[in-house]
Amino acid sequence: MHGPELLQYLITGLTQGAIYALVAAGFNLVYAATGIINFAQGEFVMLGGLLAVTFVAWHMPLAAAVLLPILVVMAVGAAVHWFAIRPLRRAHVVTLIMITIGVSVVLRGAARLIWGADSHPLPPFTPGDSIGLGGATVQPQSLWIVGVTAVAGVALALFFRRTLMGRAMVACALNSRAARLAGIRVDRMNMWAFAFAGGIGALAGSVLTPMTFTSYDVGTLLALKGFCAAVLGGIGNNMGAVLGGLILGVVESLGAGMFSGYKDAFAFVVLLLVLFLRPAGLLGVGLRRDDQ
Amino acid sequence: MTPDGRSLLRLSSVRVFYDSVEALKGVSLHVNEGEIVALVGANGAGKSTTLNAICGLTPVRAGEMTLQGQSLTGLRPDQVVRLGITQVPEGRQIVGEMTVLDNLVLGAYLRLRAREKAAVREDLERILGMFPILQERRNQAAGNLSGGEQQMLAVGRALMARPRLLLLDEPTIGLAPRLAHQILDTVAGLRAQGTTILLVEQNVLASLRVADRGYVLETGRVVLEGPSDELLRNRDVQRAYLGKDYEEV
Repeated sequence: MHGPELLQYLITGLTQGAIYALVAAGFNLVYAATGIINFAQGEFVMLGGLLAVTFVAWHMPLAAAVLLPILVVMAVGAAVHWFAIRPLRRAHVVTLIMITIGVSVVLRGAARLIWGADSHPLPPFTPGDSIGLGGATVQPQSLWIVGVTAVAGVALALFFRRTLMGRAMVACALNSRAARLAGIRVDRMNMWAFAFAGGIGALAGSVLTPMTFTSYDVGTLLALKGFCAAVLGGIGNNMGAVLGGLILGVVESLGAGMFSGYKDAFAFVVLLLVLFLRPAGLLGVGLRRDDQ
Repeated sequence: MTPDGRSLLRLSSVRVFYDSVEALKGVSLHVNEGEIVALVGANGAGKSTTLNAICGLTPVRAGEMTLQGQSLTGLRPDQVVRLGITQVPEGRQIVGEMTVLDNLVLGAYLRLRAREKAAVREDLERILGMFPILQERRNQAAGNLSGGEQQMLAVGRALMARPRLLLLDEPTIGLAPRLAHQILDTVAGLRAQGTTILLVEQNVLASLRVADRGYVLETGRVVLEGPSDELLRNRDVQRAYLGKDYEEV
């Protein structure tokens, strides 16, 4: 591999990695608040992209078409919690995780009914040609993806560290009994966690779609990759999600460059290696949950 | 010891079931404003269940619970906290991964939601002044505190809600005698500052010494009640809970 070629793989990898990081952040949000791995996270991404496609087709300005899906999918996330998770709150967390898999199937099916099985395009956020960089090229949409991921990562970190709601959400996850006794409504908090996860998923979907097209079934693979990124970084750790996402994206891109055709296998090789060698993830400390 | 107009908390014939097992079989008790009332009894007598029923953590199947005449029955935990009752739960239940300061702030969650920022900050300073060890370790992870320090943190966190009634569940459990005394001294000090306290303890002797009155709970029923000194002199109490045998009594 030559220099420019390598650089191109790196750029592609970082862009893809930023998307994985956003998906991983969605996983972390729900996990941090509820201890649940939400396998419908990929469907939140898919819905975000497809809704943006539809809103553009309805001649909405691009900014509105991209931002409105965030609100809609937040509502979907809240509804998923309220109708699928909350009624079973006494169930074991593994049961709830399986329910999220069921929810993902339902959302995928509904999306297929609404949007069909075709792939749909979305225009780039800013028009214009690719930017040359040392023999490689960067698409403007790549910069959007990386920028949006960076902003979302910082916003999430500030939310959990600095805001009362963020700390209350973390408290619900670490010790729900203590949280309830402090007057925190754990079910409401969990609903908000699902809503925020929906919002960040939709955001990932709308920044991603101009690069890759979208269809009803893009969520499955994205969720698995995002989950790998979250585990790689240390589940629940948002800096870890960003790191895990970027590493995974670059590994995948370089791997695909060397052994084309096996691109999707690399994520799972990485996942297995992490689980064998460092199950807590790169930045994870292995959360101790007080109430279980 | 009939309940009078001053009684802050009143339970009448409260019954609680865990599935089909009746954990509280009609518990009646009251706590007057400014009192320390001890709820004593063996493991499984229903002491913690009583506190959890008051807090809205455990549903009540029959009976009535009131705070100054206002019904508590069927309220959610956050509504109970809002009315002025907070619990220091058994096993402290602090959030070990969070700092001491964050744990205290969470205690004032509802007040912060109600934008009482200045008052909360004042209380934070007051409580840190009350427990110098918490002041010293305010930025450390709460999980690194010793058992006694964690208990103080749990009490401090409950006080951050500015409760009218504080429910303490086994605050001295697992603590060395010296620390246990220190905690009970703190409890007495809180009453002096105007907080009413319902204290659950297995340590019957120590808790009746700080309490004004006591209730003895046995398998979900109040079997004895009265002023602490009377209970301490009572032969049944001495035999069952203070480890004295027939000879000594």
